[in-house]
Amino acid sequence: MSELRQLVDALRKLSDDDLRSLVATRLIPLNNIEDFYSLAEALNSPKSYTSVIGSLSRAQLNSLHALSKGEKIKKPEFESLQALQLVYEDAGKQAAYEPLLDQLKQHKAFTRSISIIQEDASRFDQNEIDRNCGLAAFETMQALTELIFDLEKHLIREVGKGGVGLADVKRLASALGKPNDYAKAIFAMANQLGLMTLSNGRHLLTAEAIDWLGFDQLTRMNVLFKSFTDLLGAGLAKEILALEPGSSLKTWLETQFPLAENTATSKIGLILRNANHFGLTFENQVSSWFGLAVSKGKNFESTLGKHLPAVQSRIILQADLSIIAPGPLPTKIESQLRRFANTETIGLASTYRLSALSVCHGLETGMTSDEIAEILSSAFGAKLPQPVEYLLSEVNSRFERLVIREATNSEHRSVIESNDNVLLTEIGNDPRLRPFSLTRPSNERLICRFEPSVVYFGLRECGYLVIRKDADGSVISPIEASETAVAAGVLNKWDERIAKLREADQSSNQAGNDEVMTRQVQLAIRNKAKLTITVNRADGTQQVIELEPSGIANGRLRGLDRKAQVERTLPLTTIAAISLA
Amino acid sequence: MTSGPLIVQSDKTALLEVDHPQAADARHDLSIFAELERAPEHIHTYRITRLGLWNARAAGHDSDFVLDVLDKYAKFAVPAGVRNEIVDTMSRYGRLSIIRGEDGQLLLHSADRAVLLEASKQTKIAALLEGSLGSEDFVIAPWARGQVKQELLKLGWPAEDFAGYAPGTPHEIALAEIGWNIRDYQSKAVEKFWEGGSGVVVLPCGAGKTIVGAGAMSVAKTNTLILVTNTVSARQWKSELLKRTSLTEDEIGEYSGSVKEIKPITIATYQILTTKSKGEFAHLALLNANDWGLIIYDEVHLLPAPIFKMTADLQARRRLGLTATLVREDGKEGEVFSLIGPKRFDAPWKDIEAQGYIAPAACFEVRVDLPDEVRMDYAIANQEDRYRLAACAHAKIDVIRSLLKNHEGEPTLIIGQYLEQLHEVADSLDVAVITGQTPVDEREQLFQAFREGTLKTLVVSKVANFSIDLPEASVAIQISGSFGSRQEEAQRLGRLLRPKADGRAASFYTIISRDTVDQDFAQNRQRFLAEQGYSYEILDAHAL
Repeated sequence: MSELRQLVDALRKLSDDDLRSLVATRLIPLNNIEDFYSLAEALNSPKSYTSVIGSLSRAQLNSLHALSKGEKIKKPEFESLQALQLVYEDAGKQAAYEPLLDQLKQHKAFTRSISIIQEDASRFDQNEIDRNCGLAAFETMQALTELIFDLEKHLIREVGKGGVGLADVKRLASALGKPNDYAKAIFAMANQLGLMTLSNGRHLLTAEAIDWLGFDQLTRMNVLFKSFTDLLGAGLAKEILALEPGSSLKTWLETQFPLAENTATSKIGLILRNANHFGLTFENQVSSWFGLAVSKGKNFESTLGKHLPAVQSRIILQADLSIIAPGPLPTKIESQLRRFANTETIGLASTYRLSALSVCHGLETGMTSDEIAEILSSAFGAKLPQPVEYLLSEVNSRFERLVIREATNSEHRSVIESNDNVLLTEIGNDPRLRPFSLTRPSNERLICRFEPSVVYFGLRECGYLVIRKDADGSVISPIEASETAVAAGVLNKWDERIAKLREADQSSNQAGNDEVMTRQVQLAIRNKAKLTITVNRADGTQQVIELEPSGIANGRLRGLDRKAQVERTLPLTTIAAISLA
Repeated sequence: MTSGPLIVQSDKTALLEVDHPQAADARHDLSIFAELERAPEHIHTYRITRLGLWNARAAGHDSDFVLDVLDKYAKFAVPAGVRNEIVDTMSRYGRLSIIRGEDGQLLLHSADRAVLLEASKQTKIAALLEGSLGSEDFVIAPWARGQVKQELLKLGWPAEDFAGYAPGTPHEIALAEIGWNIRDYQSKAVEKFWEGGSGVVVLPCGAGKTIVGAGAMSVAKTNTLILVTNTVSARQWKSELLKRTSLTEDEIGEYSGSVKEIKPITIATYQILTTKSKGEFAHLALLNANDWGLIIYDEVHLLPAPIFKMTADLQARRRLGLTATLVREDGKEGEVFSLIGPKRFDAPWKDIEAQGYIAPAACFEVRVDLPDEVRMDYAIANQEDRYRLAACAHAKIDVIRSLLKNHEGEPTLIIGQYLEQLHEVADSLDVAVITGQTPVDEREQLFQAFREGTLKTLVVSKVANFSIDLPEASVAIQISGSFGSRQEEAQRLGRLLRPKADGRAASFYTIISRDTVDQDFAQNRQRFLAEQGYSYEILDAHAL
């Protein structure tokens, strides 16, 4: 049986929890995984093994070394490697996957002699470490929340493979008052936490992101810690509890994992980075609550809570339309505020600013201008400055003046409507909107071949107070739009993702599906695996042959039949079943 | 962690809650090492800059002092990144110094060989050095003191300058405090400037920057060159110096397009210094024509690029920059600091207003609805024509009429950018107009008539943006401007800020065309004043 097939079979047998743990510890993003074959392929790739090697302990490396020499290892050691899908048992024989051994052989030795300089924990002030950890955790939560609102208000396209454009990175970095690299790390973290996902070349919010907005600080911390323990994996999460507050996580990892490379993409690098971002360590020194958080201890909240900035319920509203929160706001007020205010800077104190567009966004989400005024005045505790009142009233009077709907005509996809003929002329003449190729069929309408959400963001970028309406004439909330996108094509919850994976796997097993057949062949070609093929013969009988495929084209499969020592070309119509050997 | 008034952010800004009981103390301590960036009504924003920290080191404070201040007033823990950067930045100061060698040559000196080599190997710095002198010194080209300091600052190794200033030819100058007294903030500004050697003093329009200049001259007691924006301003300086100091008419010279006098105190315009003849700056000799011990740059935010270059060669002389609005739309504030010197004194506008030294002012943005046919012209216009169309909308004239009626009898300036529009307004309202084309004598006559009250309304172009003293003007109507210029907005308001004899407040109106770029630019223009605590009430033209 081919190794890929071994791996697929092993994956099928895993429980949902084990699967979830596996993809988290092996850093496999499930978003682009279609079925167990593509998951196996991702796990069995050199890239994946390169990243996992660094997280193997000295004992695990010794076990793999023994396996590479054909020796048998003890059951517990074998199982610890099997949980990571690095080894398998075939007909009672233990073996490590070949691509893994290939990667390991690139290191001069599986074990290397390294001297670790133990840092003296006593020179660190634990209170200072905890204080800085609290701040880092707070900043990360703020940054993730900001990213969620940014995704709601902007169209963020995929750049490269799953990446984000520099302009989007810069916008987030500017709001956070941090370097671009920090913002990039926050995007990566949001992906890893499942707060954002990709669909049709766009980054979208997930249901987890909507949940996140409703969480208080400690629940958010729990989400971060859960992701951290998932990343560690069960075994490492247990061993790491040996770390004392103030000791160095980096030194400990270097001791435990001799082949670890602390690079940005390595697992150890990710563990260290996330520990620092999540407030579990500060400059790699372990916080007081590290052990409690990793072991899911009940009392970490009280220890950590003391070091998170205290929540304030007051805001300061100024006549220049700026709003300052002199500390973290309660989740509810913060969420409301961000619905109708733009973020300027996010930090211990955050600055927001009202604008016509931001207030319009609030109205689109279903708030009324009176509600906005009420939220502001009750949190401010005083009468609203006149420019704020003017702005609210002005935006309210103009709301729904410019509307985008989905077109019913198939030739174009969006219709922009307004009773203000001059406004439509201005939009039609706006050079920034030229790429949309807007045309004017009547005085009250402009039409466009792009989908409504794209036109909507385009007009908003140019400062127009536009809203979207559905076929019934109801205003589409930007939040609902995100949720609809999630429901339409992107599955986010872990359980749903895994269910989808199993469902896809079942359908791929059904015979006669040309698409599935083609995929299997391509998979075998890429992985140099053999195929077991059942062929319908002209006399009505079936023949099973084993083939090393070399190509598939024009409805024919070509491959080498080593047993018969011939090159075969099989019409796909004659193939009854196909599977990896 | 305390319940203090200060929140220190990881981007090195510090937000101060001004209503907090400890706010005044915190502000005092912060001013030693942080720059005040914005001062609106409730929260003031300070930025902890490298320059600010090095100034604090120059004044004898170390990083422990700075961290103690932050910890003392901080509401939340000070982020570790900020703490580390403060310690690191302050430790870089003083490792290099500029000293005079035994034979008077300028030396770049350091006992830290590694730092000295790092600096001297930088291409731009190496070009300014004339070889090493022992292991701890490099000789600086005699003309390159300013450039070396500038480059070292960019490199992050600021040099302490012990080479001293040329004393200049002594000339007795004293303040003549008869019937008036120098104000506390003015003498503090003089004191801070003198302690620092060279630098910039930032005070609101109308808060008496000329007196600060005169105060500095009275301390320096030396030949002084004063550079100003235009001839009218030069004459105002002269008249003020005659009134406020012991100087007499014979001791003060004007060096401008019309007069070329060089006296112990010489007032020259930027324009004359940058005038070229046959490709050369014709009046450059003025800078060394007298042994100046002090050079004053009025409205230093307007310093033209050639003057930057000339100033780099004048590092041996004390330099004082004066301005109300140290914002440059070209972003060259940094160059002002490195060539003239760092900001030595700054006072929020509203603080000076609270002390009664500038008039309170109410600001209004009046939004005019354009008629549909004008809106259609605007909608189909090219981007580059849109601002002019919106700014010069005829509909603004009726609003001006209404405002003049509301402020009948009050001295009012109508300020705009476009000459055609200004003449249209002047013709419609039958009032006098001053533009760049108006001869200097006629301008002065009209300004004088306005000061005396014989003219109640004056239409002016940007020639009245700066340095024009019109103490009784209490209403300004801004009808167009240089796009989104923040300093122009502030300077125009500044024309109204001299305290009025009857104590009345000033009113500053900006008329803008609704839903046009005029409105967008207005928002940008208002930023500086909003940051100084001025709020704009928004009015609809039809409701006036």
